[in-house]
Amino acid sequence: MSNNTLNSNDINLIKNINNIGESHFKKCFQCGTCSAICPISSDNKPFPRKEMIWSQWGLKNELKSDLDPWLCYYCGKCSEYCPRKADPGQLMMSLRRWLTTEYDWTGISRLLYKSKIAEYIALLIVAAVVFLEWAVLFGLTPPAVLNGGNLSINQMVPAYKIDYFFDYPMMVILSALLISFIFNMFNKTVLSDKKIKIPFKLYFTELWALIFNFFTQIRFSKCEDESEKESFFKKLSEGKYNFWLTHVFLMTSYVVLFIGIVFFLKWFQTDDKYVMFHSILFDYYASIGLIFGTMYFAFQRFTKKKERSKFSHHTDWAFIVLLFLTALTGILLRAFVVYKYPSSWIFYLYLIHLMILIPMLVIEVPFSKWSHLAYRPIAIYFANLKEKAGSFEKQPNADIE
Amino acid sequence: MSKLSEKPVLIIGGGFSGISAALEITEAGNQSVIVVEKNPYLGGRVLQMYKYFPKLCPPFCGFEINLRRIKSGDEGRIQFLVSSEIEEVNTIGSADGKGYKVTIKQKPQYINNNCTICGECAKVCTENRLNDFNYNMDSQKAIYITNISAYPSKYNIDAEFCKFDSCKKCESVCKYDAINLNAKEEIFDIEVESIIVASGWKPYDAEKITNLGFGRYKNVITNVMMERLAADSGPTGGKILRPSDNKEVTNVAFVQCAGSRNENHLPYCSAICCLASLKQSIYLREKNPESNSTIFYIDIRTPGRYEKFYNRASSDEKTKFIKGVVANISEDSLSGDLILDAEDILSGKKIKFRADMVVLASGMVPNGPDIKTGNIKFDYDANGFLFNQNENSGIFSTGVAKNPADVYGSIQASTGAALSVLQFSVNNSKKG
Repeated sequence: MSNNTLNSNDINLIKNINNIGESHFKKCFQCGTCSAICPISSDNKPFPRKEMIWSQWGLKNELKSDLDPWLCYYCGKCSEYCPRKADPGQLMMSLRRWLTTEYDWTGISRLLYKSKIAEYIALLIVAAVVFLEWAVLFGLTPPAVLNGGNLSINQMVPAYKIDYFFDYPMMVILSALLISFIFNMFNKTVLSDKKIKIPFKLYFTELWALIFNFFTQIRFSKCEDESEKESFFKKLSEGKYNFWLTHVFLMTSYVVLFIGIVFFLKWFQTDDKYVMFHSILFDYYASIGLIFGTMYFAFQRFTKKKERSKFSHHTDWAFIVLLFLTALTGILLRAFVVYKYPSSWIFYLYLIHLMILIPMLVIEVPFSKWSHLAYRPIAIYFANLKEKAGSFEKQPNADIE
Repeated sequence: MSKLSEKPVLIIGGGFSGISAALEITEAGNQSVIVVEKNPYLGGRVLQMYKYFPKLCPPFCGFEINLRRIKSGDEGRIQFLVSSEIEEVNTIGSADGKGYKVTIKQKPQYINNNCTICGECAKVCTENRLNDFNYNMDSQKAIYITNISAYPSKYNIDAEFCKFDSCKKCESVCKYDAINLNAKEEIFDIEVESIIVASGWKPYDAEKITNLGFGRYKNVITNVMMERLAADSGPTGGKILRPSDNKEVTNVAFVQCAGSRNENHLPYCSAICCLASLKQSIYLREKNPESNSTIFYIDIRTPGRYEKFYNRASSDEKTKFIKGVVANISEDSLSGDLILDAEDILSGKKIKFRADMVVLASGMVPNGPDIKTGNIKFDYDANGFLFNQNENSGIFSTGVAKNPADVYGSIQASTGAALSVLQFSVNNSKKG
């Protein structure tokens, strides 16, 4: 890592990073305030000072193999205390966007991050595909009613058809893409580091941490560990964990619903007014989580009070808005079914719901902001693997330029 | 030589810069100067230093030379107004070059020149004041002498603490009839041809750098306080004892750029702090050979000849340099020791460093913008320095009022300002 520094520097990379965020990383004079003030970066391999100079110099190899941007949760202290107002926190955000484009071998995410228009067009294309599919399967008008009564949702749009023609293909495509991207990430960040050999056993022993981190995002909470004297409950009551907890709430809501609609669509798309207890529980939890969560984060991005919400990339907004609209149309649809609205209303609303939901998942999950749901816990997993494999102890200066 | 103006030159500030400019002007020509100084003594910040770099001689050494020049010169042409401040500046007439009418307020002069600094008055005085010359680290009587080099050489009374008529003990004990407790404040106008702003600086308010704990932790001090701790005439008699428990310090951390080069505080480099910390490190190590000195820096700025000074400081085996800004200081409340958080950039690792005492290299803030100027605008830059502005209208600057500078650079700037004033005067008389 240390002998290829100058021949790997890439001026386009510097421009790229500049374009996908609002960090003034070129102003950095390498004082190290950011790394020292960071509550969660490790003592042996702190960030983001090293990322600042790698970005200034366009050191692609260093940046590509760097997991640290995913370990940063953007508490914003580095930016607050930065004597040059170089905004290291925002640089880490830009790097997360850039890394997403690096892991993605299709080049689609690069396009989406670069251009707002490209993102809209991509969303529209997927929406059009959904529309066509729907038109072929169910037609563009609700089926005629013979005896004047209302048709139930499953009579018009059977759940199994949604499963076979929408959910399962989407699931397969998304999984294939994401898994290939994660393998790419593994290749760039772990395999590329020839100095480490990871014992096979470690891949399994570290799995529990991956799962734990995925569901709790416990590192996020450590952003608020300003003074160790205060207890967890004191900080909780002061609202210091609000951002983290809301984030966990939103994320778990999303995961619950995602699993729910892909594997257990019948529970949700039911004609019964009264549904099974567990689906109600999930339904309510996820509905509240999505609506509250998206509104909370939209509010943060509007008021710009927190360092991490000061700059919003177009992909950040797309993420929040689409998720909110998905939740809203989903809840309305359920209400229409329960309160026996005319079947044509249900028919069209379901179409609209799918035309928002599916483009959102197809575009956002593998190619855009949502990929962080996968990359963050996996980065922690990879970082643990590397650390446990002893690379840091053996090569204390390996990552320092 | 053309005939110079009858009107004097006003010099705002009687520190090293102001005195130097005054001497250079009067020694070069026939022009007279009026030096307005807000403190009751001349010499400014330099007198508060223990030593100054690079020769490490005590400040009164250089100051005495200037005093001798003042005394051996044509005394009528240099007038010093101590304890005085500018109230207002107005142009005379409408056009440039006619000069300025300046309103000056002089605080009551309770003690006249009969004073022999015998000190009998202070012995009977019952009231105390904080010693601002020592940055409030100790206290003194309400009738006091500011410092050992005080010029004018006489005592002062702090009107805020003196009980005046209800006490009068000092007046009765003074054998020389030097005390007049009924003295009044005086406000008067002078007319001057040109102005040199030599108003100097004050240390940046280190409490604003909240992450460094100054004001919260007793053993975090500023570099100017360190000078007083080291000075023989300072609060500790020249022993470097830390404030919390008066223990002699053995492990001192110097934190560079405390406020300077920081967009959240002072965006500019204060130019002298690196050298000041190197100097302090050197004398700390000389005073106590057991001590350790550690300097946390972004980069050490010792331009030109001062490189040698850096070499001198860094050649010492108990002086360590750590590249990395101190981002946070916390206190071990039991021992009073301090824990410094930084990234050691050369190794790329975060460190926690324990020190007895921390000296913040706090930057310099120009006093200029505090001067009341009425309807005349001095064109300060965004940071409050008066750098080569207003020169066409006869307003010049020198010392730290102009830009952050050391003593040596300030004196050179004063010579330059003096020449500018003389040129201005000659051109003016040609016009007239």
